[in-house]
This record gives sequence, structure tokens and C-alpha cells, in this order.
Amino acid sequence: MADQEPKPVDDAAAARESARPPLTVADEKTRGFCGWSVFAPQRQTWLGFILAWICVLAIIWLTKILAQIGS
Amino acid sequence: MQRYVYGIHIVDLITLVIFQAVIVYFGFRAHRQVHSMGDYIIGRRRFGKLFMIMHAFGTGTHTDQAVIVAGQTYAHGLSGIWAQWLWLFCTPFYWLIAPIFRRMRYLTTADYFRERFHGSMEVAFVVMGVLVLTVDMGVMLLGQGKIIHSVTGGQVPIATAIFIMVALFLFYGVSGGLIAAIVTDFIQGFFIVVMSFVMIPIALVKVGGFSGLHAKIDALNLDVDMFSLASSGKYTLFYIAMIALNALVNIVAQPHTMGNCAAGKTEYEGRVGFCFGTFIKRVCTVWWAFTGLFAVILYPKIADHPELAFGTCVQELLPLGLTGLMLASMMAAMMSSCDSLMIAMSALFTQNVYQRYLVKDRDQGHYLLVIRIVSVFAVVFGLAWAFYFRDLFHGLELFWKLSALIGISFWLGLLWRRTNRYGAWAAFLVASIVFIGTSKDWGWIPLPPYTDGALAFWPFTVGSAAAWSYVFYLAAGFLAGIVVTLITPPEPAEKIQKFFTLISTPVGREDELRAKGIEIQHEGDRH
Repeated sequence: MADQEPKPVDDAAAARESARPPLTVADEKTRGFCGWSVFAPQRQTWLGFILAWICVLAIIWLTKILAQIGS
Repeated sequence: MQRYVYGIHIVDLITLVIFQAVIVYFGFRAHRQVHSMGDYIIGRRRFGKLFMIMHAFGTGTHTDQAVIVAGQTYAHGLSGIWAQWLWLFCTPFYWLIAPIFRRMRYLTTADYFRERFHGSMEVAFVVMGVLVLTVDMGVMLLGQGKIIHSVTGGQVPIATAIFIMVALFLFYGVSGGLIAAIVTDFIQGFFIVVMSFVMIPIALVKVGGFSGLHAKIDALNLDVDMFSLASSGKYTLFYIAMIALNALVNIVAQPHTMGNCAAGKTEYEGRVGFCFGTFIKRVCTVWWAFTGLFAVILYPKIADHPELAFGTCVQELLPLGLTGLMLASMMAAMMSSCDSLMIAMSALFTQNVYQRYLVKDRDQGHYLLVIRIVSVFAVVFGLAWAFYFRDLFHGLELFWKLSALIGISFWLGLLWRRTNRYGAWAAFLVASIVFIGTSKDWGWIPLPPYTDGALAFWPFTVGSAAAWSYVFYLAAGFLAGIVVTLITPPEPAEKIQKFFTLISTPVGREDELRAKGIEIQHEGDRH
């Protein structure tokens, strides 16, 4: 009997879980403290962000090179 | 035969008229595709990467910027480039911001303030949005009016030049909305890039190449290193850091940012367009700066008026026809910015005040008529600022600061789920009060010891007065927002969950949102 007691509890938990709509990526992302997490799982986001910083440095570097030509 | 009309050669004038006619034709043709407010404000969200790049570039690039950069370089050397590059370091963040705007599926940024906080914050944003956009438009109109006035040798009065340009962009902008703005940005953007570059090789030949440029500038024995990107005293490290931080806060609160980010098919089009469209502008800034350096050698007679450097190079260096094309491109650059601002302003009032609080449940034709009428009034306000301002730079600085005041609440609401309406209001009000108190010596409160007291040590030296104002109002705004949020009741959990689910769900998965009972304001075509 003692082994069978937890079963109704499990059934109730399973019923609650099945009644809940399936989790999507969006649901997972919205949990937590801050909205910044919306960016986190996207590889494309961070690759593009790094590329944009490379562009910033490249523009500064090329401008310095241009300024030195002929000196 | 008289070869000059209003100070412009007849060949250049014909080029100018043909260019403007083409722009107006393509812009006006877009009116056939506008059937609703969504079409007018956000262009049906159907644009690809190339159009979005040129839209971001066209909206963000105005003629007065080329004039300011060339003038600053003429006076301070290559470090004058920071007059526009102050925004360089926040450009990568555009890559992160754009998808958020697109995923909101809102028509205006004021919608964000209502859905995330409360209707009162929506109205506050409308008031601030209209204010900052009219200021920005006034500065642009005045700047372009002054250029035309000088290029025509004073024969076209500033007021006449302004009214002609306003008539042109009103004609196609009011009829075609954002679709017209994006289509015309595409054409204008191409010419701005080409024309910004075309003076460089001509000037290089005139000064004897880069070696000739160096030799002739060295021979002048100037006090500053004209080829150094480092600060010459005006643009300190501290000033650059603060203006970049302020730019990051204010960019989200500029009402036309919604159009820049969210008119694309998906979030990818928006982020590529906004981020890399702005990078094109950064590259053009390099050409504008070198134009100023060439002018140091070629036109020493304008030493007392360095802001004439760019216009003088246009007049003197470009051959017949190209001068007209350059003038047309400069006018087009200003018009492409103004029409986007006009649409953003009219959208704010019509969508977030008129439709929501004054006249509800009317058909789309009614609201479309209202938004077009409001567009005209929005431009009238911009005109009023244009005739009020005398100093372009202070007008621009006012625009940057006003946007940031309400941008603080935007960032708090996005990055911290706990932020509530009381915190948003507190951040906005406290930042505004501190901004007013620290931006000017009012006499009744002591001004912080900016440049001659305890705050005036390296690198906080020359040029730091404005920078300290940024520090004070940004810090006070964020602090007030956090403290007030913590001591007041939170927003309903369901409301917060809906908002974050909306901005976390990629474009194309709208069915999932509907299944969760989340309203989608404007999905767009995307095809």
C-alpha cells in the first residue's frame, strides 16, 4: 500500500503537465530576471554583434592608414 | 546668353530639377500601395535587406552632418571626424536592438510604453516624441537652407530654400508614407555615397596626391596634428564615452527607429539594415573629413568660416553637371530624413492619441486621411523650429538629450522585468529635472564645477561641461527608476509574461502567439 500511495500525486502532476501547452523556445526565453535573455540563445546574434565590432575597428584602422599615406 | 540662374549654372540647375523630379515621381507612385495606417507607418513590413540598409542610411544621413564634419576637420584636423563618429561605438548595438523592435509587432514606439507600462507613459512618449522630432526636423531644414543660400551666392534666401524642399517631400511623403520614404531613400542613398566620394580623387589631383597634402599641411606649421585621430582638445575621451553612452540610451526613444528596424520582412532584414546602413554613413564620414583636410590647402581664404569648407569644395571642385547632382543629392538627403521624421510624428499622434483616445472604431480610410493631415501639421511645427534656431549644434544637442530622457524608461522596461509604470515615470521625471538643472546656469541652484573645479582633471578637461550633464541626468534617471520600482507594486505578472513572450517569439511564429491569447498589432505582408 505504501508503495502505491504516491501514484495519485504523480497522476495529478502528469495531468497538470499535459493540460499545459507545450513549451516553446519563446517560453523558455521569457523566464528569469531580465529581458536581455531574449538575445542569448541566438548564435546569429552574437556572431553579428562581433562582426559589427570588427567593422568599427576596421573603419578606425583604415582611416588611420589613409591619414598616414604620403607622410 | 545668361548661364547662371539664381547663382547656379544652367546645366547644374537642369540636373537638379531632373533629379528632384525623379525622386518625387517614385515617391508619389508609392501612394497606390497605401491603403491603411499600417501601410503608411510601417510600409507593410515587406522590405528586404538592401532597401532597409538604404532606408537606415538615408534617414540617418543629413547634409548638415557633412558640413559639420568637414568644417570641424578644417578647424581641428582629422579628430574633427568625431563630430559624427561619436555614434560609432553604439552602432554594433543596433544589431541587438533591431530584432526587439521587429518582434514587438507594434506600429509605434509609444505602443511599447502602453503595453509594457501604462497608457499615461504612452501619452508622455507621444509628447516627447513629437517634440524631439520637430526639433530635429527644424535643425535639418535650417542647415540645408543655409547651404543652398551659400551655394547660390546668397541669391536664394534661406526661407525660400526651406519652403521649396518642404513642398517637395510633403508632396510624395504625405501620399506614399513610409513606402515612399524607403523607395526614395534607396535612390538618394546611392547618390549620397557616390557623391561623397567623387570629390576625393579630384581634390587629390589638385593637391599633388597624399604626399602633396602632407607636405603642404606640414608647411603651414599649424599648432595641431592635422592627421591625428586623437583628440585635439575639443573631443576628449570622456566626452566621446559619454556621448556614445547617451546615444545608446536615446536611439531607442527616437520615434523613427521603429520604422528603421521594423519595416523589414523579418527581424534579420531590420538588423542588417539598421546596423550596416549606419556603417555606410560612418564610411561616408571619412570622406567628409578628408574633404575638410583638402580644403585647408585649397581654400585658405575661408579660415574664418570653416563650416563653408564642404560647400566651397562642391562649388570649386566638381565639374558642370556634377555640382547640380551634388546639390540635388544633399537636398535629397535632407528630404529623405525629414519625410521619415514626418511619418513617425504623424503616426504617434494618430495611432496613439487620436485613434486610441479621441475617435475610436472608424474605418482605415478615415484614419489614413487624419494621418496625412497630421503629417502636414507636423512639418509646420518643424518649420517653426527652423525659423527659431540660430545655432545648429545646440539644436542637435537638445535633440540628443531630449530623446535620452525617455529612453531610460525604455531600457529599464526591456532589461529588467520588475520595472513598473511608477519607476518608468520616476526615471523620466527625475532625468528631466536633473537635465534642466545641470544644462544651464539658472542662478538659483549651483552649477556643478565642470571645467574649473573638482571635476576638471584629465581626461575630464576641455569639452567636458556637456559630458557631465549627460552623466548626471542618466545616472539620476536610472537610479530613480530602480528605487521607485522597488518600493511600489509590480505590474501584473500576466501582462509582463505576455510582453516578454511577444519579444522573444521570432517573426513567422505568430500562430503560437495567438494560441496564447497575445494580440498582434500589425503583422504585415512579409511576402
